[in-house]
Amino acid sequence: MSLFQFISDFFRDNANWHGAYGIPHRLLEHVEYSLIALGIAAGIALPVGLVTGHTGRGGNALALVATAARALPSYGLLVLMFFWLGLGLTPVMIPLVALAVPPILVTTYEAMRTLDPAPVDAARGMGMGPAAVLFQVELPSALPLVLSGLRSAAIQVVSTTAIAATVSLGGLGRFVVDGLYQQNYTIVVGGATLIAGLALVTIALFWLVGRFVVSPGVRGRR
Amino acid sequence: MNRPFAEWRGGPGSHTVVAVCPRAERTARSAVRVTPGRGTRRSTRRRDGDAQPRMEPGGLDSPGTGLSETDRRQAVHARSRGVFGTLIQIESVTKRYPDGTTAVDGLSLEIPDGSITVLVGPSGCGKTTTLRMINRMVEQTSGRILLDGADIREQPVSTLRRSMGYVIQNAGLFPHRTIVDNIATVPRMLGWDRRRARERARELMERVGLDGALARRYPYQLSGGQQQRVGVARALAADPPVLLMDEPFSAVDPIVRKSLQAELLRIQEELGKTIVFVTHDIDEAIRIGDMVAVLRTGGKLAQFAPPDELLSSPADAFVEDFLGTDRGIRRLSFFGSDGLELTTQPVLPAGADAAQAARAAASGAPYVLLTDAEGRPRGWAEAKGGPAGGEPELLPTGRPFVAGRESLRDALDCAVLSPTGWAVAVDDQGKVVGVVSQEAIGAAIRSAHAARQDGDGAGGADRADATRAGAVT
Amino acid sequence: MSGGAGFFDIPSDLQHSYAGLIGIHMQEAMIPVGIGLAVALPLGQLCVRFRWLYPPVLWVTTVLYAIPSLTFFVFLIDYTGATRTTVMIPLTVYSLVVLVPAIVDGVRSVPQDTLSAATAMGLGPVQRYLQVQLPLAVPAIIAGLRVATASSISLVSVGALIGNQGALGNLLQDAILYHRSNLALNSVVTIAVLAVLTDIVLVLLRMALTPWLPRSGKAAGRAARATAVEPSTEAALLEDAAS
Repeated sequence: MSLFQFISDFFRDNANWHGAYGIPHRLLEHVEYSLIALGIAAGIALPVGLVTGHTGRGGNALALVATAARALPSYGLLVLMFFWLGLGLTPVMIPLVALAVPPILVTTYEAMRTLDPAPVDAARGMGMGPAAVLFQVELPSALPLVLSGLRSAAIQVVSTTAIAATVSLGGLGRFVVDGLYQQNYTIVVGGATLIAGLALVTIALFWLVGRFVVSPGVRGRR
Repeated sequence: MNRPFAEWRGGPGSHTVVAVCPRAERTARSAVRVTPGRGTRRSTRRRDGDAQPRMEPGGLDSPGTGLSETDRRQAVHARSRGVFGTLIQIESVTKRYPDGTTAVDGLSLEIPDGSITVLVGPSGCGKTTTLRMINRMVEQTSGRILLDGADIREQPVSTLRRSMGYVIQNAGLFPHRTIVDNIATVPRMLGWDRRRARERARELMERVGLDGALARRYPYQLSGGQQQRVGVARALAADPPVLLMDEPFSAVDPIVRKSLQAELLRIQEELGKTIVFVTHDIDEAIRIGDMVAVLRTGGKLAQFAPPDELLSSPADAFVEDFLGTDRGIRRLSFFGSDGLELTTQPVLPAGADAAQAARAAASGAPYVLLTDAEGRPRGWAEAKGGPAGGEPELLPTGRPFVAGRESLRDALDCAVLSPTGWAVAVDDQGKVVGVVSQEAIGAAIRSAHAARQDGDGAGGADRADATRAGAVT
Repeated sequence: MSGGAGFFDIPSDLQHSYAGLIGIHMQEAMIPVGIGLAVALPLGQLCVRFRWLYPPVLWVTTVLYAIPSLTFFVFLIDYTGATRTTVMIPLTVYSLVVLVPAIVDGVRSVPQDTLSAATAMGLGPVQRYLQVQLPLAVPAIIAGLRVATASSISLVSVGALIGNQGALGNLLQDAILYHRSNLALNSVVTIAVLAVLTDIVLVLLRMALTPWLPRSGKAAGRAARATAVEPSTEAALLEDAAS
């Protein structure tokens, strides 16, 4: 039986499309968890990255944070949080946010650091205030890199949220974890396909957003 | 008007500056009335090459009208602002950084209204710092800067900056905005509606010599020279009275730089802005400056003078060294060729009869210039050869100079390059108006120098008159 | 909750001592990085040579990297079973997709002048690659290796989900099974320490291989950041994505 057979069996099974254990519900759960984690991470990392990048301070501290975060295994962290904080959303959100912050933080910082200083100087020279310089000059130029940071964070979150099913959270990971437990390979592969699909949709979405919000003048330069 | 002079002397400029004092005083005074003189020089200058194709019709066809035109425009310009003479006063300004380095040291300058003042000097002389203190990108440690008589710190910094165009080395265009939107930035900040701001931007693109088809492009699609033009247009967008330019042309290749300089002079002729221009290139300073401030390392003023004066009498060894060699030759570009005594005796028009030919041969010149039916130069023939014997062997005339429009430097150059030692003078249509020998040019140079010096010596006579006298002699 | 057993008491069902688990973990993590590097070097050079090849390769790379490890593992079970190979194949792919852009950008960032000088001195293409391009690309390659090893060491533990192939990650499953939180902590701390140590080794390796680069902490940090930034958006994404 080929992989594709499993996949088509999974999606053809009517039972997989309904109720709290159905695909739509699990998908919504997954998206919801991912969005919450990404939102919190962006809320922390974007301002910090913008400010540190703008002032140029704390670069070494950021490098340390990034290295440390890279070293921490997210799966291990999930299990550890489950032990320390029990079941629920919070113990899952902590590893997910910890996972998503570094890419956003580092890319935002680097995006701000590597901006061409000339337009910023020109903007100040023509009488723009600090906020105008940030939002009208620096951010539009930094946007591609900032978006790429957000994108990689989003992909990591989508992929790790699946593992969160091992500590009894919902989402598409449930199919995989439950399927492995029941030794039902159809469900395992079906769930895995859905997770991969969601990750790819995430890439596509970010690509689309980039098309719309990044100026052709900035995009074309690359 | 004597105040800045006193401060130069009082400043840490030491004895070298004291030595410059008489000249400095004259400069300060002439800053008020210097405009006619600059008009003369500018029109002389503008006739020497790349500015020509873009020259506006009329107004400058003859030196006389060009002069009065410039004169009138600048006088009107000055009146309209309610000041006469100095627009920006830098009063014993010092900039010291926390680490102890002194970028600018007790600098005093009076930047005249409606003209181009160039700050020039080696790296580390504080020229850029000085410029950036004028729009408060850098705050001075002590001293003050006045704009129209008022301390620049009296108004909000954003208002101050919006009243000054700012052009920097790499243009600093906003990569995410189209050319037209880049130029429209300041008008938009000032609350213009989008349509009017864009209209204004397109108007400025034309003014700085940019093809309107570039309007919707993005900066990365433009060449360095084009980007710099956009930078200038953007600075001019809200029609600020002051333009600050920080090494604007130093990142482009020499040919493009030359055309950008010519363009700037042309725009300035039309708009009469007060321009403060920073460069490390003394040739650029001489070429575009109405007044040149030479700064030395450590942020001290070495000399503040019009370019021809800088060339004729550098204040000290530093300035002399900075100016480089062949000052004398370079200075000749400030003397108009309209005072040259041209002779038409050795000129033999096409279809001349034997009598005319004999007269031309007997004029005393060793060569006779033959012209074609349109009066353009064909070549030199030996006078001794005699008119008979059909077509004589012709020597090339080389490049002729345009009498009146081009400078004595051009005239001398033509004579030196001519195989006969005689320069050919033509009018705007290329018709020969006369010839002149190296000796005659030499005499004209000597008398121009003498006239200039008389003007200098007579304390009261201002430089503008001297310039004019030099041009007319 | 720790159930009485000590921090380093490894349950017998894992069939390995603590040190044994570390050995297996490093093996499962580093073999893929090694294979990834071996494949990425020629592939990267191809992408430099044929510029048109790079954009599609970058696209494939980005897509492959987005596929979650869990998906990868369970898809492979059908072919390679619940074995170490199943864990190492995805890790090889991840290493590869991190390293290719790093190598391409590193080799490309060698100034044209330097290459021209090398050619002018009579170096052939192979000599030029080995003596000039590769050494100058070392900082970028090491930066890629740092990301690849860290992500590899972390992801091995996910292998625990497909039948105890996670080495130190298996401690996490036992922690849940036996309600021993100290096993989970042990796993997390050990994996983190291994990742940091490997990172330090790689940094030292870079310093040894590139004696011409500034040594001081600040300058080295700046240099490291510079190599991290130079790559295209996608490469920057890949570099920063691993955690």
